[in-house]
Amino acid sequence: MTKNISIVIPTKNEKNSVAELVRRIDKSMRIAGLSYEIIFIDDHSTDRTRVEVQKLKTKYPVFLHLKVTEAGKARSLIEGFARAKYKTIAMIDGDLQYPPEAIVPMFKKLSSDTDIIVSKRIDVKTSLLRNTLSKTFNNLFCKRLHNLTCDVQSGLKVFKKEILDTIELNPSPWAFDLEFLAKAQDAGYKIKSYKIDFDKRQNGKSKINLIGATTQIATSAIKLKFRKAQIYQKGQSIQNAETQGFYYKGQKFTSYSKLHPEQTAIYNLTRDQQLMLVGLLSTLLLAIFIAPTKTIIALAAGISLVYFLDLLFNFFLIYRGFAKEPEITIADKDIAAKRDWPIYTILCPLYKEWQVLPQFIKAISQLDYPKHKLQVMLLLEENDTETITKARFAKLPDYFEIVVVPHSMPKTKPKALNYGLNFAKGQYTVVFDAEDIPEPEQLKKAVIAQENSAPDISCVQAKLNFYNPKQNLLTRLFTAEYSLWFDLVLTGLQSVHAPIPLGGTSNHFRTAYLRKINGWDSFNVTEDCDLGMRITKNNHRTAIINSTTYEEANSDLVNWFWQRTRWIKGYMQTYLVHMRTPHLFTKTLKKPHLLIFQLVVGGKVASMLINPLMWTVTILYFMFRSILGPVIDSYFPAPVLYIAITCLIFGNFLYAYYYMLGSAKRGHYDLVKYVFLIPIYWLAMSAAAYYALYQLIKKPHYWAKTKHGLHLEEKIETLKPSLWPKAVIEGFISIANTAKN
Amino acid sequence: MPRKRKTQNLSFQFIKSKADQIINTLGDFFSSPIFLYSALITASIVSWLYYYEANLTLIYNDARSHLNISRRVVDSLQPGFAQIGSVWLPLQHVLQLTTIWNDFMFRTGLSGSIISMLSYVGSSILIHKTARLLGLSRLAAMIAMLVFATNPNMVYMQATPMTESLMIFTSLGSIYFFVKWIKNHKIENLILSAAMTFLAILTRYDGWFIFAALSVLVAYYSYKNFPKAHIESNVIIYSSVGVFAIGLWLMWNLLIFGNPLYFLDGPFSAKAQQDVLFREGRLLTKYNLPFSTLTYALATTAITGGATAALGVLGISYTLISKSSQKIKLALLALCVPILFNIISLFLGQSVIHLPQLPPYTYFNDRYGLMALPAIAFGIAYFANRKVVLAMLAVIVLIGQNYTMYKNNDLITIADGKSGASGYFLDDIGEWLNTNADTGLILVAASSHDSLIFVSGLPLDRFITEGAYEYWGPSLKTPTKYAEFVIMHDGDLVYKSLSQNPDFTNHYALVYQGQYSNVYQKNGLVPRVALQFTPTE
Repeated sequence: MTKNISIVIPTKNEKNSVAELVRRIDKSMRIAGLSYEIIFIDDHSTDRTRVEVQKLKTKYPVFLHLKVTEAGKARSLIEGFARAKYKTIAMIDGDLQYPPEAIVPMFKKLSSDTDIIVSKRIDVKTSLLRNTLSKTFNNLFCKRLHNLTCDVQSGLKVFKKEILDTIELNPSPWAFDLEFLAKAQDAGYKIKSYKIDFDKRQNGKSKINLIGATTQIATSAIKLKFRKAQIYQKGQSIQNAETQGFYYKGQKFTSYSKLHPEQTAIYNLTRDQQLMLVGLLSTLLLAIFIAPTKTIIALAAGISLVYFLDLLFNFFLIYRGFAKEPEITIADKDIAAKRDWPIYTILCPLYKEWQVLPQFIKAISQLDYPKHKLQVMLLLEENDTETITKARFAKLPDYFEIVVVPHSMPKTKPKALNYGLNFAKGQYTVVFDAEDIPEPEQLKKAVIAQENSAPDISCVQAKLNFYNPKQNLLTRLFTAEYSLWFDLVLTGLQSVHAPIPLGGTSNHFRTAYLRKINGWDSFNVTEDCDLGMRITKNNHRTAIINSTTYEEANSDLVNWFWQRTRWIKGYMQTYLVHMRTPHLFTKTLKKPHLLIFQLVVGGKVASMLINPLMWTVTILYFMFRSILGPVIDSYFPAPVLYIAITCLIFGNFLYAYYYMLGSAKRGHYDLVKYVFLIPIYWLAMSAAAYYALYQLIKKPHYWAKTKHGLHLEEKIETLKPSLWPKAVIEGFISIANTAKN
Repeated sequence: MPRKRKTQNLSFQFIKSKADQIINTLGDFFSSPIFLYSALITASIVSWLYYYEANLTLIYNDARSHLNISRRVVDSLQPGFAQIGSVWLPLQHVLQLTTIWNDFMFRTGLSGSIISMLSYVGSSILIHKTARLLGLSRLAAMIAMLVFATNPNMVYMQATPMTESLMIFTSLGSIYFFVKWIKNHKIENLILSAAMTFLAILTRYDGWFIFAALSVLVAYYSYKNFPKAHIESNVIIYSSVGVFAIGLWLMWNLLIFGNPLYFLDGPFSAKAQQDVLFREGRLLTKYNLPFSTLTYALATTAITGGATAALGVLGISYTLISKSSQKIKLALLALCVPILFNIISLFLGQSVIHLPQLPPYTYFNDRYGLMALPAIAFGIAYFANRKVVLAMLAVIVLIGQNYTMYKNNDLITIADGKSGASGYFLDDIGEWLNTNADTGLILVAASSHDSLIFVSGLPLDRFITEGAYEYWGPSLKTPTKYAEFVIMHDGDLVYKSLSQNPDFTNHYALVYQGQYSNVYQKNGLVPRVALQFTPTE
């Protein structure tokens, strides 16, 4: 820490206090052995303030600057800071209410993890009105709105000058403090308080128009809250923000990806999206206020129409899934042909799941691929010392590498993948989860498929299914769902060259292409879905191959719930991210990618949120038809009613039926009968969707880690169907408790 | 000499090969989809034009009702889907909605006839395809199709807006995909079979029986050919669609009429109609299996012609008892399901067929015999498939039979509509209304007078019928508030409410006495003494 400080003092008619102020500053500085400069910014004083300051210049390192910009303290400060030559700046009011002796101890409190010291007034000798207003302001606009716990409006602050290089300030005349502190905090600077005695004003009078300034500051606080989201890099000299990290809302993040923040889920909503959302909600509220019945009818019609479209679209997809069989089929003879296989990188992120490592090593060693052409990277997290230790002691084949991902936020799988991608040597790269068991020929099939495909196919996705479908009812229903998704829906999507939300694993990429599109979004908790959409926006495609990777179906309801919450949250993130640039889906107008994106990603989430509402309305209608019937009928005029009923009846039946078909197509014939219980599964999905929405707002980047290896536990308590309701209840209690904690 | 013989042999072989070539080319041409579709569509359109010109497409009371039901959805005092009602299963009416709004399509009956015609074309193609799928020769498959497509009664019925043609098509679709499934075990065929069964179930109650029978056949075939888990999967995948269709119908009845079994025990149900016949002693098949079998056999014979029926039965019997493959037997059994259904329905008193040669010596519902036609067609095809000579015999029988039927104008389906109980004689009232009922609403029970509503040519929103529930009940209490005209005959729903109602008896007078019903007008000029009800049949 240097021993120099620039002290900026805004003045306006302070002729009686400036000399005393400078004298006291000088005394404390000399005692502390600090070099200093004092920069007075005089805001058009009409008394002798300027003369007094001029006099001081002969004895002290004082500079006087006559303010050129508009009136108000904020502009004075900005002009003063621009003239400061030292790396530390103090700002203090010129009225001697703040003790200048406090500057030295505040200066000394600055450190590597303390960037701003704000004086905290503890003995405020001021009017009751001013005091009350100040407290209310602090509580409402600083603490609640911006999470600032210091004395924001305090006129004495000491801080590092670099902050001014990082953040951009554009305050209104009286709103410097809040903007400065809020933006500095967002940029990751740490703020601490220092208690001082606050004196009653001895000379002159306050320049503040109390009501006017408060209104101005309050407006500014609200504007600040809804300002355009911004990320900050500390010190502008840093070039590689993706590896060096950056700050957002005070949190440091390292993404290891060059994706522009607008292309990531670091923000839920951009400013434009916020405005649009506010606009939509306001319009809706206004419409409800003006014409409630018509508005509800319009809403019911809109929702019914979307459901109807989704019904038709899914029918079409299932038909295509059966009729077209668009997956790429690789013949055995092509696999057996002798040839020089390219280097293949396998990325396997592992976090606190060392138990499945032996299974993974075995699965990879059984791959029918020349081992000297394999680069298998175990991506382990720095703070997961247990897995690192176990991996180091495990007898890893020589084509395995342990890569430790430095500890940083966000703690997500895509961040680990981006980190690993930096070290990938393969022509192709695939992601496998640690519990995965890919079919042995999968890599060869992926190579052949990519080589023989059109150049715009840059990713091939193997199908996913489970190796433990019969463990309990949950795994059965989960398997039915996966079978439908991978064996019918995705193949249907592929058949129309639609955007495909990739599965979390077993997606094989051309490494160069993956790098070209900047890898994964480290902030998206379903990075796979996001990447699938990005591939489409880049005018490339994903194809499905006739190979399956077997995974572990989640057998624990609580574990499933958190996994599902993450998936749905990720779909929400993906939807919001890609709706920032929807026009990129429509590059080729021949293909309705944007519409399909709405249905597959947006519609899927929306339906999970709306379904319980519709089911409740239906049940209430039948239970209390005499009372509620006319009310509900009034919101569903004939055409809307017909569409809604069609969706309700045919939709629910067909979706359940599709699960049966998916199971049968995959060969899980014994699961078909369990599909009759799928409505319970849907309810659980809807519950997860609501929790996902909550998490999206509260903890958007939180990665709820799915516990794997449950199938390996020696004594698996197989849940019998008859016991399931009990398990469901226990599961929900457990979820509620976890959420509460 | 040897040289000559050799030359002769060569020339014979040349001729034979040329003949084979010609036969093959002809066979290819006649079996080509373009020829089949063109010929069938042409036949269908020509026959419709012929019967329309002869005023025969709408002689059935039910035909007019089918059209009215759909039309009321868009044109009635209370339009809406509820007008589909529960008298009949809804598919025909729902399909008619696509065109029924158009006056020409409604008044000509084409809205319904088109569905029958398309079904006829589709059924003929399905018969051909199913026959080929079952391994029958091209000639035999063609004969099967011709037995069906040239049958005079079928040709006539496909020109009418009745549900038989659609029923046959959906049943054949179910069976075709079932056969396809048992041939290649591809699940998509089982799904398509289930989808066609779904349509069949919503067409006529015959479909329910086909559903039950095919469910058993799917289970049986799976049991014989698949592992255990696969059996339940197949049965669930096939039958859940059918159960869903039945559930839809029950739910519809619950929603609209407050009783899921309303179609079964409501006042307009077949059962209610059969109960009347039973009380009158005219339901002789009830609990009489031989008589039921005989009735249906004679109905079938009347439809197909005796020789054709005999040949068909011979073919079916031989195939079932011979060492044919399990798949063929299952397919034939499936095709015979409608026969079984009709006999059982007659036996249980759920259905009624009257034939002129059996008591009570009249016509009624004789068209039900058409349901056996696909089975007969396949029976003949199997017969013809054995030898070319038998095929030639089958062709001769078919030509002879059809020629005789056309020449004698011996179509029981037309006779039934013209002079049997299937055609009511309400046209006179319809025509009277057309000329005289210029203004005001007309109160009439559609359950017994739908035919005249159609014939009147008046907009349907001028009729207060059972489906206009907001008007119907109040009109039966105070008809003067709503109805300018009242039409009724004794025993019908209007009669039951109004015959003793002073609001009616004091203010309405008989203005027209029809053959089977009467028209009353509010403040009519005819003196009150005219209100003496003449018992009608």
